[in-house]
Amino acid sequence: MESLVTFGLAVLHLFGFYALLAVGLGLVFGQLGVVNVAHGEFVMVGAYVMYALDAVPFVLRLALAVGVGLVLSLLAEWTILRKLYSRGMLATLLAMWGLAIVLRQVAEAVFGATPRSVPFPVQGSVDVLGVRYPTYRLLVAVVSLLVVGAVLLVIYRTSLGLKLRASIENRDMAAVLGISPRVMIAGTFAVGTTLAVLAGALNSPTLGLTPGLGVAFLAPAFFAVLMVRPGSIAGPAVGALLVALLSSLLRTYFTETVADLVFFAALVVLIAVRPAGLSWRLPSWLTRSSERVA
Amino acid sequence: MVDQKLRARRLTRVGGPVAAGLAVLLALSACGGSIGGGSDGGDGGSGDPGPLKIGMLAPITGPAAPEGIALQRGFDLAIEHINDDGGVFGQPVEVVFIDDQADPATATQAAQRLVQQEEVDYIFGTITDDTTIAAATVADQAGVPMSQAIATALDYCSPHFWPFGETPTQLLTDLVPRMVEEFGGNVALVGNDYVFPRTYHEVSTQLIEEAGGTVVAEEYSPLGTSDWQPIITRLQGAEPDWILSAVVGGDAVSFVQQADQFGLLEGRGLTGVSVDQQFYPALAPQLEGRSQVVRYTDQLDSELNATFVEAYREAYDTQEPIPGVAGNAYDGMRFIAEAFEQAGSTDAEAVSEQIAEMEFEGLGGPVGFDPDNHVVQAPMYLTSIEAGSPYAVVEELGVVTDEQEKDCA
Amino acid sequence: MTASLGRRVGGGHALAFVGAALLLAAAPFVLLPYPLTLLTLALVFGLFAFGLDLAWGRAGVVSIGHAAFFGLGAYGSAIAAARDVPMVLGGAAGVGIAVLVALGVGLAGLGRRALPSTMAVLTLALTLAMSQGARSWTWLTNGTNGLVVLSDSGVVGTYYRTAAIVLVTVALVWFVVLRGALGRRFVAIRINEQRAEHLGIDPRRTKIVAFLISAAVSALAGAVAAPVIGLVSPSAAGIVMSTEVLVWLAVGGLGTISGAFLGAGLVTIGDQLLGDVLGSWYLLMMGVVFLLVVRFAPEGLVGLARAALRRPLRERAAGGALLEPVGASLTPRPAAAGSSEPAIGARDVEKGFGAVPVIQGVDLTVAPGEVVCLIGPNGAGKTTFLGVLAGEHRPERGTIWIAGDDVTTRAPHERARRGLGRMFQIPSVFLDLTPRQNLAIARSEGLHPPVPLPLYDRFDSDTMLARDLSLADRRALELAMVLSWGPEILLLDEPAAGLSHEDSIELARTLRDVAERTGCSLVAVEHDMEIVREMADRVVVLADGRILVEGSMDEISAHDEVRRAYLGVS
Repeated sequence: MESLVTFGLAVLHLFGFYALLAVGLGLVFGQLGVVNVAHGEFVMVGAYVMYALDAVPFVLRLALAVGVGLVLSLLAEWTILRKLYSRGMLATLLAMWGLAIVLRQVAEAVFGATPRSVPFPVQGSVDVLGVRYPTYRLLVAVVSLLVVGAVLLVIYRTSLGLKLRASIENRDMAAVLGISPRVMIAGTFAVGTTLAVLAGALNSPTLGLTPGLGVAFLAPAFFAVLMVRPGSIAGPAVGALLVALLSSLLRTYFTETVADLVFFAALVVLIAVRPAGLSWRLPSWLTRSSERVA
Repeated sequence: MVDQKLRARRLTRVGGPVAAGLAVLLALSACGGSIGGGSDGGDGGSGDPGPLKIGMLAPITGPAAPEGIALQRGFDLAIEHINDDGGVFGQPVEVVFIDDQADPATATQAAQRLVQQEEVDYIFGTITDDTTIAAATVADQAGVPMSQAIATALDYCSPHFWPFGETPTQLLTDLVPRMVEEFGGNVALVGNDYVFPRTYHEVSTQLIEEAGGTVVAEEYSPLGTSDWQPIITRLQGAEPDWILSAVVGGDAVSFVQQADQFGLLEGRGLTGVSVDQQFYPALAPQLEGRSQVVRYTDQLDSELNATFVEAYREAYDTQEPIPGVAGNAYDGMRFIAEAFEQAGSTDAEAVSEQIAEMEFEGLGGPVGFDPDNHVVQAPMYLTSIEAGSPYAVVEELGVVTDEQEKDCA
Repeated sequence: MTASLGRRVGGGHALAFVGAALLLAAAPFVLLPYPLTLLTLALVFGLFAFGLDLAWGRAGVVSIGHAAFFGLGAYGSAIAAARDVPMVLGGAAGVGIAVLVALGVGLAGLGRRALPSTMAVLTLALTLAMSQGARSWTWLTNGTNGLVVLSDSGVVGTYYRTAAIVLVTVALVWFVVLRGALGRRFVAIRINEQRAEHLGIDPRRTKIVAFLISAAVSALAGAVAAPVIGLVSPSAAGIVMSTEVLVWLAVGGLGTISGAFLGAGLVTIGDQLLGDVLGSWYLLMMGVVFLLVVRFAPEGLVGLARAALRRPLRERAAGGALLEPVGASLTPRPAAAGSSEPAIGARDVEKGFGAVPVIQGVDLTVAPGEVVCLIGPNGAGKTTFLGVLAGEHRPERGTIWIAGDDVTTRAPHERARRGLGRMFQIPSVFLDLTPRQNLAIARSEGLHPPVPLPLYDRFDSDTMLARDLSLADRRALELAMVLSWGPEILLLDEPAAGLSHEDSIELARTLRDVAERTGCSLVAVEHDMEIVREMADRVVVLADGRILVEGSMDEISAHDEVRRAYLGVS
C-alpha cells in the first residue's frame, strides 16, 4: 500500500511537470506546425529567473518568470519564427535549434557554468495516506495540473479557445471568421512556451541549475506530444500521463539505465502499432460539451 | 551556339563541388605541406632548448565546463607565476589553449593539432576520462608527455603520462572508516552511470567491507537525471546510516536537494564527490557540517596557498570555495615546469625521468609520483564543511599510497 | 550500358569529379599535418551529412537521430580494432546492422498511415537508446571511456584512404542511385507523393530504400571516421551528433552533394580554428550565424551560391536527379480494342465515411477503348467512386478488377502499374519542377510509348516551374503527363472544369480521339452535358451512391427520372 502511494505520488509529480511541457509543446506544434526544440531551454530560462531574482518573494518571482517568458517568446516569434512558417517544419525546427544554442550560451555567459540552486519556499513534508512527502513537491504537482486544467478549460470552453481550435483546424476558414491569424499564432506560441517557462520556474527548487538543464526535458515532452493524435490539444496531457506512468513504473522496478532502454523500446513498439498516434476517448466529451457552448 | 551554351553550363556545374572543395582548402591553407618540406613531429630536444611550449586542453564549454573552467584558472595562474619568476630555460613559457568541449572527437583533433602543428613539449589538461584517453593516446603516439589534474579512475597509463588527479583509493581510504565509525556500517552508494562513479564505488565497497560495514544499496542513474525520486525512495527503503555519492555536475545539486526534501539526509551522513567544493555555492545548507577528504582546499595553512588563494580570488573575482582541480592544476603545472628546468631539455625521456624521481613543494605539501604506476603522491586532508570557512582542515592525513597495478612501461 | 553511362554522366560531371579528385590528391602537398587531419575529419563528416541528405534532402524522409547509424559504423570499426579483428570486417558488420535497424525503423515509421512526426519520434528514440546502450554495455563498448582506435597509416595515409573511400562512395551513390531511376523517384515522392503514386511509384518502398541507403552511407561514414576520431565513445551515436549533422546540412544546403560537404567542412573546421579563440562565445556566435542562415539563406550556402551563379532553373529544380525522358524499351500497347475482357470492373462496391454511406452497391464494367461518363447531383458519390477505383479508398464491400485481376486490396501504385491512370479535380503535378521535367518523369515511369499528341509540345519548356502555371495550364499539364505515361484506363475528375467552352469541347474531342486511337478506356466525372455528349459511349447516372440508370446520352436524356432529378427538366 505504502509503495503504491509513493508510486502514485511520483507519477503525479512527473505528470504535472510533463503535462505543462507537453501541452505547451503540443499547442505550438498543432497550431504553428513548429517543432520547438528550444522548449527545454525555456524551462531553463524559467529556472534561472527564479535563481537570479532570489530577493523577490517566491510567488511574485513566479509571476515575473511568466512575464519574462511572455516577453521572450513574443520576441522570438516576432524576430525569428514569423518569416519562417511558410518554409515548413524543417526551417522552423532548425531556427528553434539555433535559438536553443543562443539561450544556453547567454545563460552561461550571465550565470556561469557552476551549478546553481533555488532554495525551497516551503519546507517540511506532509502525510499522504501514511507516506511522508515533501510539501513543496506536492504543491508543485497540484499547481501544475491546475494550470494545465485551466489552459484546457479556456481552450475548450471559451470563445477564445474556440477561435484557437478553429484556426488549428483550418487557418483560412478562421481568417474568414475574423480571427487574425497573426495574433492567434503569436499568442499561441507565447502561451505554449510560457508554460515551459512556468514549469521551469515551479520546479526550480528541485533542480540543479546549469545552462544545459533543459536538454533532458525535450525528449519526454516530445514523446508525450507525438504519441497522441497530431493537433489534439488535450492529447499531450494524456501523453504526459502515459510517459510519466511508464517512466516511473520502469524506474521503480528496473535499474535506471535498463529503464531508459526499455522506455525507448516501449515507445518504438507503441508507434509501430499505432503509427498515426494514439487517439483518446477522453477528450471527446470535452469537445462535445464545448460544441454545446458554441 | 548551342555547344557554347552547353559548355558554359558545364562549367558552372563543375563550379559546385570544386568551389566547395576550394573553400574548405582555403579555410585550412597554410604554407608548406604534409608531404615534402617542413619538419614532422616534435623537435627532439637536441641542442639548445627553445621556449617551453605547453598545450592546454580544457572543456570550458559543454557539460564539464565548471570543472574545465576551474582547471583553466589554476593552470593560468601557475603559468603567470612561473613566468613572473623568470619562466623556464630563462624564457617565458608559451601556452596554446584549446577547448576540448568534453568531447573525445574534439579532444583527439585538439591533441593532434597540439603535437603536429603547434609542436608542444607537453600537454596538460582535459577533465572527463574519455577525452583524457583520447588526448593521451595521441600524445603517446607522438611521444609527447601529458598530465591531467582532476580526480580520476583511469587505468590508462603510458611512459610519459603523469596524472595529478586523486585516485578513488586516495579519496576514500581515510574517509570510509571514519564515516563508518561516526554514522554506522550500513552504507548506500549512489552515482551517475559512467566509468568513474562505478570504479569509485568498487573501491568504496571494498573499503566499507574492510571497515566492517555493508553496502545496503547501490544505485546509478544516467547523466542528466533531474528526477531522483525513484532512487531516493529505494535508498530510503534500504535505511542506510550514511550515503556515499558519486553524482556529479548539475545532477549532484538536484540529487542532494531532492534527497533533503524527502528527508533522506535527516540524521544520516553524506559525503563523496557530490560534496566537493564546486557544489558548495548551490548546496551550502545541505553540505554544512559534513566531512570530506581532499588534496586541495583553499583553507590550507601555507604561505604558498595564501598567495595562490589571494591571486585566484582577485583574478576571478570570486569568494566561493576554490575547486580542488584548480589547486591540482596549479601544483601540477608548476611541478612540470620545474621538471623541465631540472632536465634542462624538452626531451620527453629526460623530462619523464625527472618527473618520476622529483619531489616538489605544492600548495598542500610535497608532491611526487610513484615511479611504477604513476600515481601522484601528496598529502590528503580531512576537512569539515563549515559555514564561513567551508572545507576547513580538520586533520592532515599524510600521503595515501595507492598500490593499483598499471602498465606504464 | 555505355548509352546509360553517357546519359547519366555529363562532361561537366566528369570534370567535377576529376577536379575534386585532383584537389583531394593535392591537399597533402599544401597542407600541414594538422590541417590535413582536420580535412580528413571534415571529409568523413561530409560523408555522414551526404548520407543523411539521401534520406532528408532527396526523398524527404525525416530523421533527427541519424547519429545512431553513424555510431553503429564507428563502433563496428572500434570493436573490431579492440579485438584484433580487421577493422574492415567490423565496419562492414556495423553497416550491415545499421541497414537492418533502418529496415525495422523504416517499416514501422514509413507505413501508409504514418506521419512525418512518427519518423521523428522513432529516430529520436533510436539515437537516445543507441547512446544509452553504448554507455551501458561496457563489456562491448567500454562504456563512457570509449574504445581507442589507432590509425596505423599515419596522417597522410589515413587521409588518402579516407579521401578515396569518400570520393568513391559519393561517386558510386551518385551514379547508381541519384542519377538512376531511384534518384528520379526520390524527387517525385518528395515533391508530390500522390502524383508519384499514381504514376506507379511505390511511395513506401521508395522511402524505405532511401532510408536504407542513407543509413548505410552514414554507417560507412562512421566506420571510416573511427580511426580519424581516434576514440569512439557514446557521443558518436548521441543526440548532439544527430543535431550537429542537421546543422551541417542546413548551413551547406539540402539536396546537394557540395552542400553536405561544404556545411560539414566549414562547421568542423570553424569549430577547431575559431573555437579556442572565441571560447564559449564561439557557440553563441554559431547559434546566431545559424539563425541568420535559416532566416536569410533557406537553401544554405550552396543555395546562395547558385542564386548568385544564376544556375538554370532546370538544374536547381532537379537537384542532380536525371530528369530526361527515356525513349527506350517500352512495350507497345497491346491491341486491346476488341478484347472481350473488361478493362476495369467494379461489382457491388460499398463505401462509407464513418456512419455515412456514400457508395451503396455499384456495379460497373468498362470495355477497352470505351468512354464512360459518370454524372449525377452533388454528393452522389462520383468522386468517391473514382477514388475507390483508383485505390485511394478501400471499399467495405465489393470487388474491383483491372484487366481480369482482382485489385480490391491493391495499393494505388499497384493499380497504376496495371495501367490505371488518374487525373484529379485539383490538378496534381510536380509543382517544383519545370513542365518538361514533369513530362520526363511521367514518360520515364511510362507503361507504353506515349500517345502522339501536339499537346506535349506546349510543355516542352524549362523556363518556369509548374508552380507558376495557371490552373488551366496545370490541368493540361496533368493530362499531358498521364497521356504520355501511356495509360490503359484513365480516370478523370471534371477534366473541363475552369476551361472556356471552346477549350472544353476541344478537350473532349482530344480525349475521344485518344480513346479511339489507343484503345485506352476513359472513366470521367463530368457536369457539362455538352462535353458528356461529345465524349461518352455510355453515361452512368449516380444518385445517392447508387446507379440510377445507364445508357447512351440520348437514352439518359430521355429518362424521366434523370430529367427530374438531375437535368432539372420537369
